[in-house]
Amino acid sequence: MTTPQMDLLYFSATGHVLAAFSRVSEPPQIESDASSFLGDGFHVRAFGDGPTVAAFGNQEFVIPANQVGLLRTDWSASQLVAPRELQVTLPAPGSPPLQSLSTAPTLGYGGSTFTLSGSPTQFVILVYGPTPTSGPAVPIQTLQNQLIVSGLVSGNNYLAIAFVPQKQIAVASFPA
Amino acid sequence: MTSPIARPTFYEGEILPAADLDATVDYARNQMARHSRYLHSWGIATGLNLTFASGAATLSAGEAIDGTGREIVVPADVQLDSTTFDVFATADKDTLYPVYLQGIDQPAPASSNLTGACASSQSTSTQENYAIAFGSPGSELSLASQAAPAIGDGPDSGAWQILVGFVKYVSPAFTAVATYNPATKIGLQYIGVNASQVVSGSGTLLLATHPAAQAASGSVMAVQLQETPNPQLVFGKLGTDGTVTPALTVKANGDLIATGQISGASIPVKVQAQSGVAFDGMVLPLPLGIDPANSAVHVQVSIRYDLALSPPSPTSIPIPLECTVDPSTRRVSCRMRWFDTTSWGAPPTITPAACDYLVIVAASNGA
Repeated sequence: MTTPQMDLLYFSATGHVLAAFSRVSEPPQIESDASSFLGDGFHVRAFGDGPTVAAFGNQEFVIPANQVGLLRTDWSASQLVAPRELQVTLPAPGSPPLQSLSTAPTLGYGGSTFTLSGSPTQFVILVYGPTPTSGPAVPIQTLQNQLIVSGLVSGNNYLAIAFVPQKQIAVASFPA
Repeated sequence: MTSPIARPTFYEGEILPAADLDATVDYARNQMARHSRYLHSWGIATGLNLTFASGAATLSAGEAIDGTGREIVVPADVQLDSTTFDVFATADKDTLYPVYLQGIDQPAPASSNLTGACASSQSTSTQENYAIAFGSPGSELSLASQAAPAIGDGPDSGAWQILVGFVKYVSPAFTAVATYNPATKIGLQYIGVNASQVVSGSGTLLLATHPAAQAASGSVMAVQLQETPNPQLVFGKLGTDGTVTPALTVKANGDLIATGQISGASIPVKVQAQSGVAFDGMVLPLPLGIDPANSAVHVQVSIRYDLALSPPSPTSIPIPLECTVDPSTRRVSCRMRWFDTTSWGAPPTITPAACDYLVIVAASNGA
């Protein structure tokens, strides 16, 4: 009997899992890219409405389709309903294929500079705004230990999402 | 009341008049005509191909059975005589004129070796000859309404027309031939079989649009019933070796195998399904091999409760916020609200969630 499997969509720069899904009729070979499951990109929402991310759960942050990878792994009920707590071991498929993530750091912004609690040495921050359809305000960054953003329009509200290795995804909504 | 069919019989010492001898011939001939008339439908049996070459129209040798049951034999190829076409002196060059074949009885020439009682020579046989005639445009429409003889009658002479083709004419010669008139939608009719049962003793039964020898064109279609090696019905193209390349096969157990697509006004070509679990923000998977541009997609989703869900706090309980799918993009919007049971006044925590989905696709041709 074939082992049940599921598929993962993950942020290809760091391996953070964005979504998990299963198919009763799985193709023999997984698709070569994730485009069939992304449309114009992966829409990220609902990281929780709290003091630091007010109203973020009602907005859509679009991660470009070319930054999303696709991986097949063994089926897991708990991973299927909580994929954001996982990270793909890169380069995929690594061994073990998945790692559990610890609590997300706090993402802050001030004076054109992002800060992350715990002072991680490597991270990626995507900035998006001022409207969900306007695209990232800054190019997708490679892993680095500091990010200074320029070109933001004063008075506009932006969304930011931070991918820190071994940590859950952190988000923030901030005015420039 | 019509007289019953009489079968000639004789007795010793009987004086045989010519009429009694004729009756012995007519009995068999009439019986055969009734067989041909009622067990078969009239038409061309073989040959009788109308062709055009080197400025001449030629009817090939062949045989037909007319609607009276009469056998009409054209023993050798015959070139159509354009001089007999003069009845259509104003013929239009693009008009198709039907060409008819008719069976005609003609007395054979009298024998020079036999004499009658008064020394007058008479014919001792009848030639079953034929005639070729040209009809007015559209006259082929009345072919189906030709009147058959009475039930007990034998074959007739010259009373039935069989269409063997069409000609085009520009004085003084024919310019083309055809086997079908698109204006009247009338073409050649070939002999058929009138039967409520067709039973083969060989374990296989073949119906084909042309003999296998003509299958090189690749367009001869056939239906074959066979017992071995696999009991089945096969529809497809007939090969020159008599085999049928299956396009549609029905096995004895009812399995239906089609190499092409099945379509219809009310039955979609393909109905396929996909189901599973999907997560907020992604586009729902389709059944394998489906092009959504040519498909009607039906989606059902419901938020997934699972014991594996981890609440934001141990005292939180989940209540669905939304679980929908955008009909144009198939993107899932599925979120859960978590209320803290120890602090009901606090705003809920909203988290992305998974849903159970069912996608049913009715795909049109080519999808």
